[in-house]
Amino acid sequence: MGNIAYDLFVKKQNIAKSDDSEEFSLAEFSEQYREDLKVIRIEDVENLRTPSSFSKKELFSEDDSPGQRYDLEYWRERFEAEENIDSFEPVVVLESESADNSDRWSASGKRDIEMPEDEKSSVSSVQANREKFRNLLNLAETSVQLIAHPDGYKIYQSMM
Amino acid sequence: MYDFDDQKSFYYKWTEDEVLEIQKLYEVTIVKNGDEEQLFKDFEELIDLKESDDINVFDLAGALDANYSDLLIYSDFIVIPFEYSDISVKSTLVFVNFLGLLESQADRIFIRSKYDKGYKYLNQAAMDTEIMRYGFLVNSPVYKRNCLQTIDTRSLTYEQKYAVKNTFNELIEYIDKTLNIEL
Repeated sequence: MGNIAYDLFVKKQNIAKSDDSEEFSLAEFSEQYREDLKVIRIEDVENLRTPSSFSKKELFSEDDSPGQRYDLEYWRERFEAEENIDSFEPVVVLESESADNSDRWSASGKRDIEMPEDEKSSVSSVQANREKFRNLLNLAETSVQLIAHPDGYKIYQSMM
Repeated sequence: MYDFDDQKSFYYKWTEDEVLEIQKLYEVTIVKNGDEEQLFKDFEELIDLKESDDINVFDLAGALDANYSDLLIYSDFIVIPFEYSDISVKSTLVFVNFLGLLESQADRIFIRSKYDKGYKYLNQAAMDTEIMRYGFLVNSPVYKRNCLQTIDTRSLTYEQKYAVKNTFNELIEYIDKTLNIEL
């Protein structure tokens, strides 16, 4: 966040100053400000970003954890959506997914036992549990398939 | 006896029966549903229930809830009444799949419910073999009978007893046998 805010701030400064420059270039004062503008233009901003190891570290450390979370959520949503759509060939998908799901499920169970003290984590783990629950339910639903229907009597089979 | 159902139908039935002169056979507790809280305060509470000599029966709602997951995993037996209608048979398999995904330790017992004697269920043979892959299918069905519409929580009439006798005997016999093996 700090980086983003910083970037925005710098960019805004640039825009503001370049705007200013356009205005001032029309006026005679432009010559006085040109020097300043040259100093803080795009090249300089890039220079500020790249060589400073300080800013790089912040970028990585901050982006790592939320990035992974987003990926997981995105993956889950996509997984659910795919499951809703794909009823044709779930077998290959299911084998890998079910392992993942059960792993995650057990992990969540451990989490619940391990840290009931942290209010935030327990609330979020309840929500996470519900999500996992829904995922498992979806998985359970999509792996039941209609295999025959003599005279309208449907025969289902589990593909798990 | 724990009533999970949102409608609390069992609990209300039980309180209604207070007017009857017959002594109550068991206590009924409502379990709040849909709360953010977990079902049991902690895992130990559930294990205590499991370890106790009391028989704890949980009447679950038709819709699954994340709150149940521990209960579904650590129960000794899960009795699953089902019918041969499309919806029932499918959701039964979904439920069984789900138990598998949860890695539930519970023994699955299936009971044919509201079974119509004069009816030919064309999907029965195939569904029975499928269902028997996952647990014990009680041989005697509970037939659809008028007398079962008016059950109370204190006693059974002679007719009602007769209607469920075979099924219950089989069920209890199976549970006894399984528990003895486990001991």
